[in-house]
This record gives sequence, structure tokens and C-alpha cells, in this order.
Amino acid sequence: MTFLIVLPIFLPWLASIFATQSRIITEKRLKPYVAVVVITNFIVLFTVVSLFPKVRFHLLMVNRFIDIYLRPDSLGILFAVLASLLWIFTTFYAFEYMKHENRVRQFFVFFLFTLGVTIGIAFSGNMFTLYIFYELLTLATFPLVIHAGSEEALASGKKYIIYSFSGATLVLLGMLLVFSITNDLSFLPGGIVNFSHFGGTDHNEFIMLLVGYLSLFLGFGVKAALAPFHSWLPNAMVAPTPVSALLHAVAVVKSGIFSLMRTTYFLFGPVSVAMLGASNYLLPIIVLTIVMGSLMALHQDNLKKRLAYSTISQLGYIILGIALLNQDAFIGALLHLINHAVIKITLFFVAGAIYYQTGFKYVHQLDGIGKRMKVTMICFGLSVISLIGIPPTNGFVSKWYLALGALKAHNVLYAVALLLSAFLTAAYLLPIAVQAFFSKKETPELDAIGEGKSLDPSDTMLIPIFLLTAIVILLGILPNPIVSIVTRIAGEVF
Amino acid sequence: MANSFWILMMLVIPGAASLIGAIQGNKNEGLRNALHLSVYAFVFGIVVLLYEPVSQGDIVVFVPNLMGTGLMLKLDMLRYIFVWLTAFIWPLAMIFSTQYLIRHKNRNRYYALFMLTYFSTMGMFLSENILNLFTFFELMSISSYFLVIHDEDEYAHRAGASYLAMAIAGGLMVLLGILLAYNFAGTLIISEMDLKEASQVTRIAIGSLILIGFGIKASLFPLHVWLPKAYTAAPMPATIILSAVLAKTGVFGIIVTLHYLLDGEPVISYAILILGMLTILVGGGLAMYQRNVKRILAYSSMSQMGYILLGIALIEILGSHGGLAVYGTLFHIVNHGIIKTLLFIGAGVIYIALHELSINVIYGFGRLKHFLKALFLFGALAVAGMPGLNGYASKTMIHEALLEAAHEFPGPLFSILDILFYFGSAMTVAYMLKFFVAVFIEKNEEYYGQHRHLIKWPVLLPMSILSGAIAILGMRPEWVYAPLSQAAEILGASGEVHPHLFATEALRASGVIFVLGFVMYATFIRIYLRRQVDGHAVYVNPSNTFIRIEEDLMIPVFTAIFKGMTVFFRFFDQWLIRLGEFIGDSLHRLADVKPKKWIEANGNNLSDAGTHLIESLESASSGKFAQPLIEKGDAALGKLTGEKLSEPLHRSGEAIAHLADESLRKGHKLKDEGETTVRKAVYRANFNISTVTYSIFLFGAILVLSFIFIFLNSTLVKY
Repeated sequence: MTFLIVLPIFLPWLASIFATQSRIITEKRLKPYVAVVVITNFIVLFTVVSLFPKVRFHLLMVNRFIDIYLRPDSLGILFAVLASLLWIFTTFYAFEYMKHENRVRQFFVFFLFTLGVTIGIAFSGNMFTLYIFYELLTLATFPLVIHAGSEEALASGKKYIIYSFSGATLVLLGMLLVFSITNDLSFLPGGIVNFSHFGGTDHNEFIMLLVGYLSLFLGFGVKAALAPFHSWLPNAMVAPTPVSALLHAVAVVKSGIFSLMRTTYFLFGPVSVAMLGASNYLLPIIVLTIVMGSLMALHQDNLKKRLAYSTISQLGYIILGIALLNQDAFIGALLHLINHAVIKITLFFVAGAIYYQTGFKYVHQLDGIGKRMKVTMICFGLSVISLIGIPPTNGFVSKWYLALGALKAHNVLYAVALLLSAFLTAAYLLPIAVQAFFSKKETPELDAIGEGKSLDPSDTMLIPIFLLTAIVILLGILPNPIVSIVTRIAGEVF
Repeated sequence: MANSFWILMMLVIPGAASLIGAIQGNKNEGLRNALHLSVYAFVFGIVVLLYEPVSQGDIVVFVPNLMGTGLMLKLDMLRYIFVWLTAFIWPLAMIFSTQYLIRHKNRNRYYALFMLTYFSTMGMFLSENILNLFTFFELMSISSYFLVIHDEDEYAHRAGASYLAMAIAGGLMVLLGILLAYNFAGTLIISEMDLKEASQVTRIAIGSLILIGFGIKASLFPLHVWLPKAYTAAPMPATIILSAVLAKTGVFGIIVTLHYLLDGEPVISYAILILGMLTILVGGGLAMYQRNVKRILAYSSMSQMGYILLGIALIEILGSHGGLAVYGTLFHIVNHGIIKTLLFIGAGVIYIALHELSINVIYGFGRLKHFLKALFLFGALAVAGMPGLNGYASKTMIHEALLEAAHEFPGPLFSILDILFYFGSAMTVAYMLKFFVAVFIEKNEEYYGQHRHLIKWPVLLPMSILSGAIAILGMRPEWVYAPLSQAAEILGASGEVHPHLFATEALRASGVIFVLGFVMYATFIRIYLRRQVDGHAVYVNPSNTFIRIEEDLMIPVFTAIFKGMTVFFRFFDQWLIRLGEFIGDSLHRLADVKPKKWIEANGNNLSDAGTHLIESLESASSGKFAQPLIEKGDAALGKLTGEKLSEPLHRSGEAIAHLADESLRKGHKLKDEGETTVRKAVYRANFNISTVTYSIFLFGAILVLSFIFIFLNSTLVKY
């Protein structure tokens, strides 16, 4: 019965194919259908992983290299659960949001398909499987990025595809390099690359492994928006907001992060990576990414672009946590993977709600909007506080561990970079929240909308925003359950 | 156990009341105010009742899992003094708020945040875990920010931006310091944190980080730049809180850090000593210049904070002999809170009546309001250090500690500090005299005793209570010696102290200070700052043209850094794309194909030729040529109707029309063909641009694929 493990992957795929049949799934039935699928999939996921703990399943095995292998471990399950949960929120949000967009059916078809792919990434048991799903993810999200169909969207889509495939090519290269030496690509906590087995003195193999690791890192780094491969992310903002929210929170960028974790801690292992000395090459780029993201965010007037650059900076935090190779940093990275997902999806939902209700895209238009969209903007403000890392919110918890990890690596500079970026985060997001409530400027554009009535969106949009904000605060006040799970995962690796 | 419960209640009740009040206040403001007042009164009751148990021993409360590390609260005598001050001042500020805010908007928000600030301040003073302390500190910074910008005008926003930026920057510095300290100490419990193992440089680095963060709140020179703006912009009750209590959170943080984490690290202690003295002098000096009464009091606060910081440094420098310094510092913390509240309420009354704070306008306002005048005089004398009032007691103690330090460590430093101490205190006398004389003694025909109805019980009750406290603490300071002695033991000093407050030397020093203050007032303020303009005596403020630390130093420096970083990172953001474009262009030029140019040139020719052809064909076919013929034919036909000739002519006319139609069709076809040619040319031109971009990636892909091939080859060979 272990084959049932493929269910959470194939169920959304089948459902998405079924959703194209407009005669059976009529316009009227489409939304309930999607909701049922997403929720069912969440339940199925839970059932399957609790029924078959530590399951291993070879879907297709040609040889040691071509081997599609599923092995959900605790990290994978964590990621899958996070993705499915946020998918549910996004689904309900999208129901309302997509009323303003065309081609709703097309949207939901690919939306469901992407869910399956993301869970596939989470469940991958070796690098080859991960690579397959990683490529599929690009293909599945591409139609979502270019959904608007405008010239700008198509150009962004082209950029997205080129960047993603270039990255994937690098991944393939790294994968082959590593396979040529280890003859194995499966994921094990603590890594399979063991220098004592391969005669660590062999210089050629050492170089091969180093190049392999670096190309895997940079290849996955493209999706994780590691500078200088980040330019696709701000451009991909032309997608409808539910998509950008998902791209940022879980689906795409976090898949990149997840793959980086798999590479570093499950393929190579922290000890081997430390011996390779790969971090020395990567850490400068990562620190630059963190500061650059924050600084460039300050210069964006488009709210979604500002959030996109903010994501680049925040992802830099997580990558830093991965590259520092100590337990606290890895705990911080895992926590920030979760916490940033929740925070950023909230911020994007709010940005989308503003656009949906008023058509405003730019920061300078948002003065005084808090008086009209009270609940929405309070949620925005709280999420911003969390993103800066002010306690007692979840953002603080992860930053605390990340900074501790930075200090454990005996370098204060990383901690300083984290805090500098936190200050810049405050500089580029806090004024929005403050001006939204306390601006005294005249706002004729805003006053012209809705005759002075409250502009808070309808419940299907507002409830996801509200619940996510509640999670943000709750995970800050009572972080221990999550921290203990994450610590257990980190404990397996080190 | 019961005590632990009550300590938790001190946090839980205000926290809940803040929320309930915010919801309730939308419907009934009176009920909300009553709720808030009773909460403040209730907490004050708890605090008073907890004195007995605390004097028996420390009370520690631990709530696991909260905020990750668990919430660890501790109430010892040191904390009790801060907690008592908070619980005492807040209700009075609240009572005053009810009158001050009557005409303000957004009262509901104000009261909720007022309570939230209270909650976080209490939490900070009670925290034993440094992470909890930091959490409450940040919460307090943010909630008090909303109090500062409550008026929502331009000035308030600028002050608020300054306040918030410094609070967040300071908070992050504290966080970095805490992280470093935790990295060395391995614990977050304040009293167990110890950096003995770290090198001195590390300790100084950690200490400076944390102290800069807390120093911002405690308005340590030169981190005070936010203070005059924020104090002036905030509504008066919020200013009271900022000055009387929130500044003390910074002080508390400094005491805790300096004593527990750094073990009184001498370098840091001396730095605080000197900066504390500078704070006294800069605050006092600038207070003398000011014309806005709120600003006078703001700078006065800064100056008084200097005394406290001086005292803290003395505690650590003197070590086990520092009993007197502990007495003076902690006593001054309480006294300053009480006195400043009284003075700010007094200034608040003026603002309620006149909505104006410049002494050039409000002079003489209080001349006939005798009760107000008396109460205000009480506060002014207390802050100036009149023997018999509480300010005198604490300042004398700090002064005696300074003399003791001079005795203990002979040298020029403490002698100079001693002289400067006299000057600083004399400045206090001078600026309070300026305030009092201008507002309550000078004559002004506009004020003849009106506005009296505005001075109601919400003003007079707090002022009377505070005056009573000033008198009691001033006359019978020995009543508070018991808690102070316990606090001294906590801070590692001997609690056996017998200050001689009314000894001849102390009284003489006070006399010297007052005389010096009068001289300063009579010369500097009356002659230099008070000038005749248009026949009126007007106070001027030359300090407006002084160099300003924030505008003239901090902002330009940070702007320059920011701009430099922007240039660098903008390059970093774009270089890959730019590089791609550059390589594409270079390849283009290398190949020397210039397809774009060629096609553009030829395409233009082609399209010109096409257009020409089409035009000529159109003109040929569209009937320019045929129409006249047809017309002529028609005319001839008309003439020849019925005649024999008409038939053949008619036929030939039709044939000509047919011919014209035919050529028209041909012309259209030609036109279409021409257009297609042009379109194709343009398309080729466009296509070439994107092909270059693609070719780069193709090139990269081929490169990578060839690598793969090579490695696959080697792999296959191997196995």
C-alpha cells in the first residue's frame, strides 16, 4: 500500500486535468470543486504521511541515476504541509480576487497542477526526482506568471523561463558531477558524500565535488532569488496577486530554498560542505543579496515590486542560515522558511486586496488608506512588524536563531548584516503602514472610491488575511511547538 | 504563590484592559475611562501591598513556553522602585488626560495605547529574562510612538519619524548586544549573565551596543536628538509619561547591563560618567535658551536624566562604597518622575486654556491664578533643589557621592566634575526661574484671571497629590531609606548609609547653587536673551542657529552612506542583465553583420518604392483616368440619346469602365504585395535583436551541454 504516497501528488494533477472539462465542471461548480480538491488533498496528505511513516517508494527505477524515488521525511512533510496549508488560504483568497481577471478556469487548472508539483518536490527522495519536479514547477507556474497576457507579462514570462531553465541546467551539471563521483544521489540526513569513502585526498574528486556543489547551489539559487540571479522575481510581479503571493511564500522561491537545504544537508552534509570550503565563495554573495534586496526595496514605488525585493532580502537570510553550516543557523533557516512564508503571503494578500478594492498599485497612493481599510491595514502593520523582527512576533524568533547561528560561525558581520537589513526593512515598509493611518494628505483619488464607505474586502478575502495575521502573532508568542519540530529536523542532520 | 499570582495580574489586567477598553470605548467613553482608572488604581494597590513581601525577599515568577524562552518575572527592591514609580505616575497622568484630551480626536486609540504602553513598561521593569525585557522594550517603543504622533500634524510626524527611527535602530543595537552577550554567557537570565570570560574589548563592544540602545531612551548625550521634538509634539499626558517613566526604562536597562552583564566595566562607567555630565550641561544650557515652555521642560528632563546617569556611573565606580550613589540615583529617579509630572501638568493647563506655549505670548498667564501658581512654584523649587523638597535630597546625595569619588580617586577629573555639577545645578535654577517669572509673575493685560473654569479637579487633584509627595519625600527622606538600602545591597553596595542632608556643607552648596543660578538668570537670561523688540520685551532663542546634531551631522552622514550604497547595489542589481546586453552587442559588432542597419536602410527604400508604386497605381486606377472618360461618354450619350451613335458609344463606355475596374483590382493586389514585403523586412529587423539575446543563452546551453557530454563520457569510461 506504500504506493499511496503518490496520492497527494497525483490527486491535484488528475483534478487539474478534470477541471478542464467545462461540461462536467461548469463555471458554477468550478470554485467549490477547487476548494474541495485543495482541502481533500490536505487531508489525504495528512492521512498518508501518518499512515506510512518513513515510507520509501520507487515510482520508476531504470538504473541508479534514473530513479524516481519518493521518500517523505520530516523536512519534506513539513514543507508539504506548509505548502498545502497556504494553498488553502490562497484558494479562498483567489476566489474573490479572480473575479476581476479573465480565464479563471485556466488559472485554477495550473493552480492545482502546481500544488501537486510542489508536494512532489517536498517528497523527492533523491536529486534526480527533485530535478524532474523542479523543471515541472517552472512549466506549471509559467502560465500563471503570464496569465494577464499583456506584453509586459509575456516579457516577464520569457525572463522567468530563461532564468529558471538556465538554473536548471546548472543543477543538471552539478547533479552529474556529483553522481560521477558518488554513484548515488539519494538524500540522507547528514549527506551521502563522505570523504573517508572516496579517498578525501584525491584532488580531482575534491575539485569535482566543489564545482558540483557550487553549480547545484547557484542553480537552485536562481529560484531562491540569489543575487545576481534574482532579476526574474521582481518582474514576475505582473502575475495576479494570488500567484505572486504563492510564488513568494511557498511555491517557487521556497522550493529553491528547500532544494538548497536538500543539497547542503541531505546530499553533501554539513561536514563535507565545510571540508569543501564552499561557503567561503557563497557567503559574500549572500550577504550582498541580503543588503541589496532591502536597499533596492527602498527605491520601489510599486508595492508588489517593493515586496518582491523584500523577498529577495529575506530569502538571503534563509540562504545565509543554510550556508553557515551550524545547527542554530539551520534552525533559523527552517523557522524563517515557515515564518517568512506566512508573513509574506499576508503582505501580498493585503497588496492584492488594495489593488482589488481601489486599483492602487503604488506606494504613494496609499496615504490614508488605513482609515478606509482598517482591518486589512492593521493586519499589514502587524505583518510588517513581524517582518522587521520585532518581538513578540514570529519574525523575531527566526531572526534570533539566524543571528545566533551567525555568531556561532564567529563572524559578527553576518549578524550586523541581518540587523542592518532589519532596519532597512523598517525603513521601506513601516512608513507605508504609518502613512496609511496617520497621513493628513489630501487623497482625492481615494475619496472618489466607494463614497466614504469602508473598503475592507469581502469575507472570502479578509478571513484568510486575518487568520494568517493571527498565525503570525501566535507563532511569535508560542513558538515552541514549531521550534521543537524544527530542532528535531536539525538534530537529524548534525 | 499568591504573590506570583498578583505579579502576573499586574501584567494580565492592563493587557486585557487595553483590548477591552478599545472595544468598549467605541460605545461609551465614560465607562472606558472608569475601567482604565480602576485598573490603574487596582495595580497601584497591588504594588503597595507587594511592598511587604518584596522586603522579605525576591519574588520570581516563571511562565514556560511563552515567547519561546518562557516569561520570567522577578520583583526585587530595585525593580520595585521603578514599578512603584510607574504605578504611581500613570494614574495621575490618566486623570489629567481626561481633561486634556476632551477636544482631541481618536481618544479611544489614545487610551488603548496608553494602557498598552503601561503594560509593556511594567513588563520591562519586571523582566528577569533579558529577551523578555527586550520584547517589552520594543513593544513600549512602538506603542509610545503612536502616542507621540497622536496629533497627526506635520510636526508630530517629523518628531515621530525621528523617534521611531532611533527607537528601532537602538532596539536593533540592543538586540545585537544581547545576542553577543548570550553567545558568551550562554544564558538569558539577567542576574546570571556574566561576561567575565570575554575579553575586555568584547565586553566594551557588547556594553556600548546595549548602552547606545538604552541610552537613546535615557536621552544620553549625544543620543538625545529625538527628545526635544518628541516631547514637544506629544500630547501633554504622553509627554509626562515619556519624561517621568519611559526615560527611566532606558535608565533601568543601563543599570542592569552595567551591573550584571559588565560588572561595572571601568571604561564604560567612566564614559557614562562624562557623558552624564555633558547631558546635564547641554540639557541645562539649551533649556535656558528655549521659549516654548514644553521645550524648556523637555531639555530640563534631559538635564535631570544626566544626574541619574552620573549617579549610575558613580555606583559602579565606587563599588561597595557606592551606597550613597545608589540612594541618590534611585531617589532621583522617583523624585524626577514626580516633579516633572507636576510641572508638565502645570504647563498642560496653560495649553488647554490658550493652545499656545511660547512664553512671548503666554507671559503673565498665571499671575492671578494663585493656587496653580503655588503648586507650580512647589515643583519649580523642587527641581531646582530647594532644601526641604525632594529634589534637594536626591541631588545632594548624588553630589555627596561625587565628593566621595573625588576623595577615593584623587585627580583633576572629579574636581572638574564637582565644579561642573555646581554649574549644571545653577542652570536648573536659572531656567526654572525664567519659566516661573515669565508665566506667573510678569504682567500682561490680556490675562486678568479668565480661564479659571478650565482648572478643574482632573488638574488640581494630581498636582496636589504630587506636591504632597514632594513635600513628604523632601522633609522625611529617611522614610524611603529602607527600600533604598535593600536596593543598594542588590547593586553590590553597602546599604548602611547615613546621608547628612541638612549638614552645613550641603546647605552651603545649595546656597552657592542658588546664588549662581540667580546670577545666571539676571545676566544671561534677562540681559542676553530678553531683548526689546518693537517696544516689547521679547525672549529670543539664538540656539536655533546652533549646529544641530541631527540635521547637520547625523542626517547628512547617513544620507551620504545611503547614496553610496544605493549606487553600489543598483549596479549589483543590474550587472548580470547589463552584461548580457553588452555581450550581445559585442557579438553583434564582432560579426559585423549589421543586419538591423542594412534592413532598415533597404527596408526604407523598399517601402518607399512600394508606397510610390501603390500611389501611382491607385491614382491610375481609382478613376482619375477613367472618370473623365465616363463622364464624357455619359455627356455624349446624353446628347446622342435616341440617336444611332448612342449604342456603340455606350458599349465602348462600358468597356472603358470595365478596364478601369480591372486595373483597380490589380493595383490593390500590388499594394498588398508591397505591404507584405515591407512587413517582412521590418519583422526581420526586429527578429535579429531578440535572436542575439537568445543566441547568448543558446551558447551557454551548448557550453553546458558539452560539459555534460564530457563528464558523461568520463563516467561511462569509469564504470
